[in-house]
Amino acid sequence: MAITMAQAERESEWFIVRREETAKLIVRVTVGVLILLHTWAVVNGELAIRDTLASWGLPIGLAWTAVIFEGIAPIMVILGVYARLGAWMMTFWMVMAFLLAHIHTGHIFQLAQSGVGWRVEGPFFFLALSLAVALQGAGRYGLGIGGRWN
Amino acid sequence: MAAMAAQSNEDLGKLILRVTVGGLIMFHGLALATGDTGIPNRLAAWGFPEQLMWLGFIAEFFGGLGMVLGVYARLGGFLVGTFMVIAIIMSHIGLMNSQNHLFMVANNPAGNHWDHYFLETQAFYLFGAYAVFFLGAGKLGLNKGGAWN
Repeated sequence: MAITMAQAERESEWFIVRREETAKLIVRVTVGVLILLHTWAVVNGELAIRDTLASWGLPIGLAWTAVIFEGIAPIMVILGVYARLGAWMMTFWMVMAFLLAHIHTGHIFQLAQSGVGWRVEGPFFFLALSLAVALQGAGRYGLGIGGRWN
Repeated sequence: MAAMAAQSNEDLGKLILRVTVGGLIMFHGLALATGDTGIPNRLAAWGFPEQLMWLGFIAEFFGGLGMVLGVYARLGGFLVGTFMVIAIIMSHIGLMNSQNHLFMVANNPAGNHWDHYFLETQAFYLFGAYAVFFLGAGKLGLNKGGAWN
């Protein structure tokens, strides 16, 4: 049985919408899950953030704000609960990381120690993907809580 | 008005994503073309001719360039994502004398504590590239490639 043009259009529209929504889910889960491992490391005694704070004469206790900015925020992003707000929090966190650890040290002008790839590739992925989620929102594959802040 | 602002935010998000994934993978393509032995060594371990690395270079460099410019950006995303699937199979899941990195963490730059998923970079490229494949380039690019952009 031949399909009508209207049917074909409806189906291709369905496909186009679904693939966009799928992409938003992929980006949210990728950036959220990967940053949670960094936070888990901070909670378990990884000292890089504390060392950076100390080098600027800032209280090292500020490292515990990681639990908010790269702990609760990515969970909001993954679940789709005020995901845009969570993503802006992660974006702020990564901007601070660049300002405090990667710019004056010259990392942004260097290749990785292995010689393959940009030195701050990882931090930049976190920054860029957080910003993309902040701009695009969660899409429809999530809990859908937060209105225009999702 | 609000709908227009929302649309431009969507396009800006697409731009940021594809310039990041595409721009950063180009550095890996350049490293490969200028003598990095990681990929040739893995091809040899599988008994493949090392010249196949140039397929990897095409995916990394020209796929990345297409994503950055908005020229066949979806095709670029598909090439880079599929390249990453092949790279992970060939180098990271325990086949042909590789280690299985799927369930490992790796150390921080100082080397004194674990702090990230071993395949973090690979995951960013894999999922980021397929996200570009699904999202397309949006309006903020050269707009070449029709349905493949």
